[in-house]
Amino acid sequence: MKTLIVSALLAAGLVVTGCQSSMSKEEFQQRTEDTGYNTVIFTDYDLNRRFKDGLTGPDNVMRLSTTGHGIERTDTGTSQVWVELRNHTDFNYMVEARTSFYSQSGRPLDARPVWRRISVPANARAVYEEKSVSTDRLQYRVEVRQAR
Amino acid sequence: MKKRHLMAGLGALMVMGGCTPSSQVDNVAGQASVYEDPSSSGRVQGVGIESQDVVAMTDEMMRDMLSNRILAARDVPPRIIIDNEYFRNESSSIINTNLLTDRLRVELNRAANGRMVFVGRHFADMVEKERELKRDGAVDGGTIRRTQATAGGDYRLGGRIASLDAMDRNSQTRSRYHQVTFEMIDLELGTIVWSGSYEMKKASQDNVLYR
Repeated sequence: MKTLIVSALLAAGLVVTGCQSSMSKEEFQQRTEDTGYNTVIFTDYDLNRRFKDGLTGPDNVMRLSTTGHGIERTDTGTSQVWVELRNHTDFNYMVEARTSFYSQSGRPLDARPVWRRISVPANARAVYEEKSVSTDRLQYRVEVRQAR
Repeated sequence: MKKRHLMAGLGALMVMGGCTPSSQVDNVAGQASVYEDPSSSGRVQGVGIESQDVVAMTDEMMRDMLSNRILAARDVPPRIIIDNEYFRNESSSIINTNLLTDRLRVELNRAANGRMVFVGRHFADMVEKERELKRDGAVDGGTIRRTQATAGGDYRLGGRIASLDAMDRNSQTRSRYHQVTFEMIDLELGTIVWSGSYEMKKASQDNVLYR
């Protein structure tokens, strides 16, 4: 009888383990959600991610966040994007950011985006800026990752 | 008994010596060469100026120049010379300054799309030779036009790379601060109409050789 119970429990454990995914619903959602235009995305999920860390753990780990971002025109008609990043940790962070520009219809435009380094001091803020080369009205998408 | 042991030991050594080749072929899969993204840090990193720095700084300067009213918003596009004639490397890093000026000129020319006109002064001798052949009648006049002279420049790029080195004797960690300045000079007045600078500081323990 004992052997039967142990076997049943083992089988149940195997089934549960097989069905469980290591990625939580929140993390899956963040990784696959439609990012849209005029947004800032942390492509490095260690910087800012939502996940389920056990039963009592946090479901949102945030080292860096954005406190604001926008786009404006320069004197020559090109566009300039700005993003303010906030470091919530006690450590200096060196991150990289790049901006992709899109036309109003969503077509990728402009010169190829290039990663630019920004230093965000511990518990402080830093501003990342990027200019377009095109004089068209543009939308943007900024990607942020840890510098290597 | 001792003699027997000694003989046996010697015999074993001889057998092993015979089996072990004097030179070996390292017959294992090596590290294949791979392509890397030139705009990101690669496997080999030191304190010098690397591809990601070249790409980042020239891209930043290009975008900044295109947002400058004097350079990019004139009714008549200005004629600009960008080469390394007046771009000096005074740093302790080994770098071919053509990497910076060539990339800047090419990317700017592509992005400007007529807002600026670039004079190929580094190809001046090529143009002069062809003009001479045309004027001598050795070749015909081509199909574009005839001009009295080649184009004069309105602005020319100047710049400098400077560096400051430091080394921790205990950990052998070395750091290098680079300051790269780019300036656009009015070729009549001598004034500086646009300036840009790029700063970076790197620290490393690895001994990377730049060539």
